Amino acid sequence: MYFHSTTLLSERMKKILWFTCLLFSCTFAIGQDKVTLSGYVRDKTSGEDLIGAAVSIVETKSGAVCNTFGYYSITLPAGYYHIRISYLGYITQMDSIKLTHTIRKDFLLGTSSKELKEVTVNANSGRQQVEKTQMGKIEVSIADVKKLPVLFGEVDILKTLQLLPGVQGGSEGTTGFYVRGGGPDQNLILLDGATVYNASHLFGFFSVFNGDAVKNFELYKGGYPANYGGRLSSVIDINLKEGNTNKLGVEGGIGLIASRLTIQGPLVKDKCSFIISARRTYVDVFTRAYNKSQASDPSYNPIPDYYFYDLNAKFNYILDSANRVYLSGYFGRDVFGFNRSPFNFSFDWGNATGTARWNHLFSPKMFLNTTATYTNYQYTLGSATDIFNFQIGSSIEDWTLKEDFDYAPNIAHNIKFGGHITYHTFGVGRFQLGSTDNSLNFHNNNTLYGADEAIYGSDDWTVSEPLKINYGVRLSAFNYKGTSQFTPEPRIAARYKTGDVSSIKISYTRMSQYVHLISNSGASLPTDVWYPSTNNVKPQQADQVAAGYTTLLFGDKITVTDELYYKWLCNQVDFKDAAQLFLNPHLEDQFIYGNGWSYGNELFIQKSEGRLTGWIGYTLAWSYRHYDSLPAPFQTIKPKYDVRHDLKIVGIYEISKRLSFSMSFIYNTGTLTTMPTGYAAIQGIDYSSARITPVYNDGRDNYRMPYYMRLDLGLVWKFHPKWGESDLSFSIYNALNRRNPYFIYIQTELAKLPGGLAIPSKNTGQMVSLFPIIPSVTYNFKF
Amino acid sequence: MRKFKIQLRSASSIIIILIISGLLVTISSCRKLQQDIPLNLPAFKSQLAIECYLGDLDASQCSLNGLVGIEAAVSNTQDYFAPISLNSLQVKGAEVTVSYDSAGQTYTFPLQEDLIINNCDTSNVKLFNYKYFKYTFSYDSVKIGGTYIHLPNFKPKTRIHFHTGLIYKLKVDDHQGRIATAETQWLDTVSIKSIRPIFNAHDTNYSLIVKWNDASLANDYYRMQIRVLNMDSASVIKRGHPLMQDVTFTDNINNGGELAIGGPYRYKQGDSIEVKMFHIRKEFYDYLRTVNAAVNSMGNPFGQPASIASNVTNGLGIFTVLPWSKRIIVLR
Repeated sequence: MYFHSTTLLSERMKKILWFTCLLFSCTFAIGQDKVTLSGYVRDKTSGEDLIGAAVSIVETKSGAVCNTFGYYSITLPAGYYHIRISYLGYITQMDSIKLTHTIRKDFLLGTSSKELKEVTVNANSGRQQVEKTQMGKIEVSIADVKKLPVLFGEVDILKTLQLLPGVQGGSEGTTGFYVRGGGPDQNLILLDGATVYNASHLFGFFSVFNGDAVKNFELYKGGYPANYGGRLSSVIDINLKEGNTNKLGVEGGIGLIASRLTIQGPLVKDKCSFIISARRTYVDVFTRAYNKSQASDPSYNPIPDYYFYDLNAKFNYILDSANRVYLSGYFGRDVFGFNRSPFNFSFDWGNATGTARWNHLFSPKMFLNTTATYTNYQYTLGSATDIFNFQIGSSIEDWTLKEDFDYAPNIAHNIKFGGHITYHTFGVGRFQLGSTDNSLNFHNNNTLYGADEAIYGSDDWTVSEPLKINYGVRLSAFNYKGTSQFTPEPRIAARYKTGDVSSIKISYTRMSQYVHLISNSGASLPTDVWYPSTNNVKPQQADQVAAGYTTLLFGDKITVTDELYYKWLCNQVDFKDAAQLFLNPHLEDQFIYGNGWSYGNELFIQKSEGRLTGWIGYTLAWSYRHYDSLPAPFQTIKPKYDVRHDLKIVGIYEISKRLSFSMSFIYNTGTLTTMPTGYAAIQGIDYSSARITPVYNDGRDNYRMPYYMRLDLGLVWKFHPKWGESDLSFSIYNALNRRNPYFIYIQTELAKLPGGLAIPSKNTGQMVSLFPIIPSVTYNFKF
Repeated sequence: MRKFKIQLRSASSIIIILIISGLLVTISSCRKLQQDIPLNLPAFKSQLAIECYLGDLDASQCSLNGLVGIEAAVSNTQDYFAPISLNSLQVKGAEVTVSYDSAGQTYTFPLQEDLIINNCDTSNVKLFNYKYFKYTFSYDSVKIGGTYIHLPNFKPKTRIHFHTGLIYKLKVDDHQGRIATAETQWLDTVSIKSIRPIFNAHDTNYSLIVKWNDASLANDYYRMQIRVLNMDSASVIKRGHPLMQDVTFTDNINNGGELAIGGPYRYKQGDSIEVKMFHIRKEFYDYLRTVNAAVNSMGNPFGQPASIASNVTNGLGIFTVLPWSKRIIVLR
């Protein structure tokens, strides 16, 4: 449901708003004569803020979770309390404090990386899973990500996400992913709050995120907090490290295809730090040298240049106890070039993001984060001969201002409210064709503008010890050419503890999406274009309900979570057959619109303590789309990412202080693809060739490919040289050397009849795989 | 654990490991990544596949220049894994007629059956099994591409009119219960304004810039074929098919103005080059586009599978007009 500006909010919406305001007002009525304990939780060694660290009051069985900046605030009656501070991958810390007045207390947690005693390596994440209302959220520590086996030795956050239940990987080896039956464009990827529109390098084989620069990442598949919006299916919130506030450090790695280097350290000890991280591939260095060696051979066709690089930088400064500022940025490019007279060709694409943040504490209970972000994604494809030159390109650029307040009036409530405004510039298509003598000059520039805004409020309300409710609403809007479209997005989640170590949860969320990815290739291509909601292209919308059960087993060592979900999607955008998306000034003519629904069950069994850690995830799911404009009876289709069974097993075993072994196993039902059912012998006009043409008359995504199965193995071998730390990370991708389906087609052999007429003589099904077994090794160092 | 205390101290050791890994990658990649698999495709129902073109359908290298006025290929669409034969492919005994109304009178043209033209383009022999000849002549057989072809039961026909705005109708009755129909309309011919050869000293080849004026302010669609006329068989082996360019495009970059298109450096001094510009209908443009997409979807992971945009009712294919103009230049 969405509203045009001329439409009044419905009665139902009014009721929701009144109810929400009423609940908010209740939170201010209680909580007098209390004191507040607040502060930051940080890494003991680096001083990095620990996002999502839990600060629990043992006596009240309640507590707070640190926000994105590591800040917590708990208001409770004066008294003597035991406090437990825990965070994934860190040693849980116990403390006691006599609270007589409002105080600030920061905690420093140590990592468990050098400890092997199980009792001390207590992530306590299972307890948090049971306690929190949040559903559909999964975190994996960066330390674990670095231990997992990878393709070509490149640590990849997005590929780690593909190992989680409810997340279906895209094409073999790529970073694309589908969450709970949603499309690849329905995932919001944030880097320090800035949207990343194309999060991949090399046509999707590597993500743009350099693991050395990333502090943490969180995946939301459902139960979205009210401060997130703009995509239907998932939010991936990635935060960069702030830089070590204690000492200067250097780390890096040398891999088969790329190398990395990160420098971080304090500018003013405990007040100001920085981090700069860079990564670059170097295949082009070798191909250039080879091309040069063959330069004397006139028949030699040079290998085109290709490389990509990333640059991350962040700076932060603690102005005083109530104010802190951050500046961070990302710049990455893929560059492809071919230069051989008279023909030159270049193709480059990439993202640039910038974030400026200001944290301000109005009081120990009220925290404000102001964020200004800039995002740009663009590609340019150019070619030139001595007489012609042409250039095409596309871009999207966002300027965003966000205000996010955290307010903890008392131990029972944690309120978040705020808003944002984003101004978008969609360079949907730029085209220029000219001749060097200026006798020809055609150009076209299709640029669209839009703005989206949202305000939100939510309260995480501990009603009683077993019952906790998170309720809120987000009001979002999109402006295009003077017309506004509004969408109210209610969010509610509830947790009820059924015992000390178990709880049941339910949630309902609505999400809306105002920008749409224009791509029908099925792969993440740099030429994909983002398009705004317009008077014809309605905002996409999804309503999701979920119910789950979480319990701890074997002395809290194993967390079992099971979630059922059902999702309704409306105003889904797809494309006509053979849609012309390239250089088309009338893109909307190529769209078709429909609805969808998906449902499933996700089982997640996680062990995050001890020498052996990891998880087992199993998803049983269905997904559908319906487009009235498709030919009957094929209007209802299962999209290619409708995968019935999806099993993931991930294990990391710390053999010794020096050695850790890891494995990941994936099995899933084959994805769907569109296959022809027959063919026609199309003749064509004079001099053109006759063509055996596939006839697709059985609807889209009508054929399920064979199942996908892959086992990856990894081994990290650590060294402790005098100058610091180093390791060798070995990976074997697809250790079973299984030929997994990449795509399927029908190969036609032709035979010529007497007279020269060619007709098919044999048709065979062909399955093409992309990666066989691929070993790799990366050398990492740190000092 | 002592056995793990070995430390690789030198960079050379690391480099060796990297190289070995690279070799392993190379070796492991050698195994075949494409394999035959059985495909259990959904059931297929065959239908009439029809292509019918109206115009001065010449085979300009042949002796019957401007001979054919209408040609139609009528075949069956086929199951991929059914037995294959020419008999199962072509549709025989169908009644194929084209008609139009002009000045209050209806003209009907039944097409001649069982004629497989082996035109002068031996690498692109076609299965046009129904034809109507534009002009009257009295041969029993004709020589096409060096081969005499018998014209059974040939009778001279009435000349067809090709006028802008005339609406033509097609009916195909295979006498097996399948009747397909289609409709199309004649378009203005568009003249080529200029052809400019551009010489490239680097590889001593020419490129051509062809210019013409867009037909109207409405959306127009074009197809251009550029063919070298004087290539012998040795040249074909060396340079490829004489049809050097065959492209379709719209006027959306400069609607109503001057349009131009260039191409690769493929033409040589001494070439006699025919540039043929077709002004085509949108349905033919869409048909070509979707046929291309469907063909390219086989074996291409980035391809867009597409059902063929057909303007034939109760069948699959295209019925369209082909107004064209051409110019011939010789590169001296």
